[in-house]
Amino acid sequence: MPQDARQQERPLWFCLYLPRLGLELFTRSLTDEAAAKPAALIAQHRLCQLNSAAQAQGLHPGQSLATAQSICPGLAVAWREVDREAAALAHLADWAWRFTPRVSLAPPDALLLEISGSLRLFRGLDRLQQQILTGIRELGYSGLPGMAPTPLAAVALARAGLCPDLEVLAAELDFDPLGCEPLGNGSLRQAWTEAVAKAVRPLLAHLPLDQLDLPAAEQQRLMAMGLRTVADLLRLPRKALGRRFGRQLLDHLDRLTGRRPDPREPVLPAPAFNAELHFLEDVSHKSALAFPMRRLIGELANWLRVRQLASNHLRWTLSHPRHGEGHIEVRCAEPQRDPVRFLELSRLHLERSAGLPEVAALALRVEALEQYGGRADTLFPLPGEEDRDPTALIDLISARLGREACFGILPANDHLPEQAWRTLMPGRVSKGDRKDLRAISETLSGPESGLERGPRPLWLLDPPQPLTSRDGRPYWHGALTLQRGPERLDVMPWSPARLPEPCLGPRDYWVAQHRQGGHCWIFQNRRNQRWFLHGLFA
Amino acid sequence: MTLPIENLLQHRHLWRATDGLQAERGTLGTGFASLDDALAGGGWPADGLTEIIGDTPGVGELRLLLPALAELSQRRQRWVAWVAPPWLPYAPALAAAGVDVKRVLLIHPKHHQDLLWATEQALKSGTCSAVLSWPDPRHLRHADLRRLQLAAREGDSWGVLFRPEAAAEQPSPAELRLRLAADPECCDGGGLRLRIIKRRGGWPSEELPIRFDDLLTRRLAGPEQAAALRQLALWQPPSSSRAAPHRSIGSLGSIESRARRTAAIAAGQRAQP
Repeated sequence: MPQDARQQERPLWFCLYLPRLGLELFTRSLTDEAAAKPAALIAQHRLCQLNSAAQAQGLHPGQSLATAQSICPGLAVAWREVDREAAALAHLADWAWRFTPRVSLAPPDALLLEISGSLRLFRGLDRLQQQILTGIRELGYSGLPGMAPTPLAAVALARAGLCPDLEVLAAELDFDPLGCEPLGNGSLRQAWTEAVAKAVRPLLAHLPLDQLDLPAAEQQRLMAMGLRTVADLLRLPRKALGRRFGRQLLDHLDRLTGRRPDPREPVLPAPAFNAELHFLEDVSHKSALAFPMRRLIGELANWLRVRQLASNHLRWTLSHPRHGEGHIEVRCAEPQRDPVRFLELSRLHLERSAGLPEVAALALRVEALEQYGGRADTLFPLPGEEDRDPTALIDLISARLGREACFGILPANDHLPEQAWRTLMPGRVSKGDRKDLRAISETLSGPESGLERGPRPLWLLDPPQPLTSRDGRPYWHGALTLQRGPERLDVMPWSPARLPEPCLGPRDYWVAQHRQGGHCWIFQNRRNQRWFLHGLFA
Repeated sequence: MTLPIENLLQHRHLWRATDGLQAERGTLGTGFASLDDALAGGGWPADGLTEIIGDTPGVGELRLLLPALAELSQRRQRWVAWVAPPWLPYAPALAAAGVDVKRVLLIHPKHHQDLLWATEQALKSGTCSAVLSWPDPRHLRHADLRRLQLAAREGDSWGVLFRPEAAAEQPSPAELRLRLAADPECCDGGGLRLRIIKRRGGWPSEELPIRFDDLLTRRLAGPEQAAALRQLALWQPPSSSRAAPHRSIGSLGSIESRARRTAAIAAGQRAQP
C-alpha cells in the first residue's frame, strides 16, 4: 500500500461521553427552569450522579441518600435503571447517525463516531465538534468530547476530560477556524488527523492508568509497582510486561496506541422512530406533558428530516407502574414531517383522550414511514395563490372532534335517492371516483335529465320522516299542497336491508309546498299508502 | 411620489362615502342581477361574515347561495365547509347545480363550543373559500360573532351564518345581513323576498324579489300534471296555499342530535362495501 493512501485511511475517532446519562434521562423531560433544581440519581442507596445544582449544595457522589436528603431537603431523586440507559444510548447512536455512518457504542455511557470521512462535509473538525455538542445539549444531555486516532484512546481521553484544544490545533494547522478552509480536497482530512494524532500523543502519555478500562486487580498491581501513567507502562520492556500480566494487557496497550487494529461494529439505523421520556415526578396534569411532547416531536422531526421520510401516524404511550398504559393515536390525512402540526394535533388528541391519572413516562413511536415528497416553495408567492395544505384543516378538526365528525360527499350511481350519494374521507377522491363523478354530472345536467327525472332537493332527510295524513292528504306543519309529480321510483327487493320496513315498496315522489311557503320532497309508498318527507328544497 | 395620506386611503379596510358602492374589496357575483346591484362591490363579500336570517327552512336560502358556491368550488382549490347543517346536503342536487362536490366538507361538532371552534378554525385556516354554519341561536354571543368576522378576514374566507328571525333585531359585526321570506306571489318555489338589514356602503333596503331559474321551476306544472293530481283527488288551486303562516317550523333540532344523526348515517354508509 503506498504511503499516502495509508495516511488517507487513517481513522479519527470522536468519543461522545455522557457522564450524567442516567440522571439526564429524567431531567431532560423538564423545562430549563425546573431542571435548575437539585436532582440526583441513586444506585444502591447512594448518590451516583448529580446535576450542577446538587453539586453546588455540597453533595457529592457516594453519599448515602439519607445524608444527601438531610443536607438538601428539596433534592429530587430518581433510581438508576441500567436497561433504560442502554436503550437511551442506542437511541442516541441513531441520532448520531447524521454526523457519520460509522457510529458504534461504547457502553455504558459513551458513543464512538469515526469522523474522518465527515470532516469535509462539515468543513472542519472544530465545526463538526461544535455541531455534535450543540445537538446533544439540545436533546437535554451534557456530553464531553474526546478525540484520538484509536477508539480506546478517544474513550479514555473523554472520560479523563483531556480533549485537545481545537483552537490551538487550528492555529497550528495555520488556517482560520472561522473562515473557509484554504486546504484542498482531501488535505483537510489529512491535516486534522495529523494534528489530532500529534496533540493526543502527550495527553495519552500523561493519562493516569486508572482511566484505562483494565480489571481492578491488575490496576492495583500496576499501581503497587509504582506505575502511574500510560507513559510509565510503555517504557517497560514489552516481553517482561507480557510475561507478568499476560497477553491481555499488551493487547489493550496495542489497541490504545494503534499498533493493533481495533475494529468496531457500526450501529445500523433503526427502522422506526422510538423515543421515551421519563419523569422525575409523576405528572398529573395534561398541560405538563406539553413540554416533553415538544421535545420528542422535535427529535422526531429531525429524525425524519435526516432520512427524508414522512409519517401520518404517531403513537404516543403514556405509562405508569401503577396505572398501566394509555395510548394516543395521532393520524394525519397526508404523510408529513412538520413539527408544529404534529405538536398541535398531539395536543388536541391528548385533550380529548381519557389519559391516566398520573404519568411516569412518555414514549413516542412512529412506524408508518413514507418517502417525503416535499413541496416546492415559490420564490415570489403571489397573493391569492393556494399555498396552504388543505388537509391541515381536516387533521385539526378530526383531532378535536373525532374522525367521524368530518367527511366529504359524492354522488353515487343509484336511482334510489338514499343510495344516490355516499360519504368519503375528505379529499380522498380516487381516479375511479372522478370518472364516476364526471359521468353522473353529465347525466344530471344533460339535456334530457329534466325530462327523465324530477328535481332533487338540496336537503335530504335520511331516513325518510313519516308524515301524518288526514283523508289521505299529507301534513307537515299544516297541510301540504302537492304541486308536481308523481315520479315513480321502485325500491327493488335486493336493495339494502337497512331501509325501515314502511319505506319498502314503489314510491311516488311529489314536490309539495308547506304553509310557510317552503317546498319539500315527499313520497307516498304505494304499497301501504303512507306519506314520507324525504327532502327539502332550500 | 405618493403622500402618506394617499397610502392610507388605499387601505382596503377604509371606506369613503364618496366611493359609493364601488368599493375595492373582493366580491363574489351572486348570480342574481337585482341582488348584485344592491350589494357593495356587486356581490357577496369574499372575506367576511354574511348572515342569512329567516325562520323558514326550505324557503330558498341555499339556492340563493348556490351560484356563488358553485363558482367558488370550481375556481379555487379550497374547501366549501358546512358546519352542523340541519339536514344532509344532497350530493346529486349539489352536483346538478354545478357545485364541485369534491370540495364539499361536512363538519359535525357535538356541541356549541365545538361548533364555534370548528367554524373559526375553518374560516381562518386559509383553506376554505366558504364556510356555512348553523350555530345554536341560544348560545351565540356578540363576542363570538366578532371572532368569526375577524377569522373570516384573516383566512380570506366567506362565512355564512344561518340565524333565526329573532336575531334580526340584535346588532352584529357581520358585513352583510339578509332577511329571507317566502314570496307569496310565486308559489311554485321559484322565488323569495329578500330584505337587506345591513350592508357596506348603504342603508337597509326595501324588499327585493329574487327569482330562481332551476330544475324546480323549469318543470312547470302542465295539464297532464293537473290530471295526475286530480286522479289523486288532491288537487287544490295554488291560491289556497297563501294562508298566513301559523306555526314556525323554526327549530332545526339541537346540534347534538344533528351530529348523532349524521354520524349514524356516515357510519352506515361507510359500512357498505
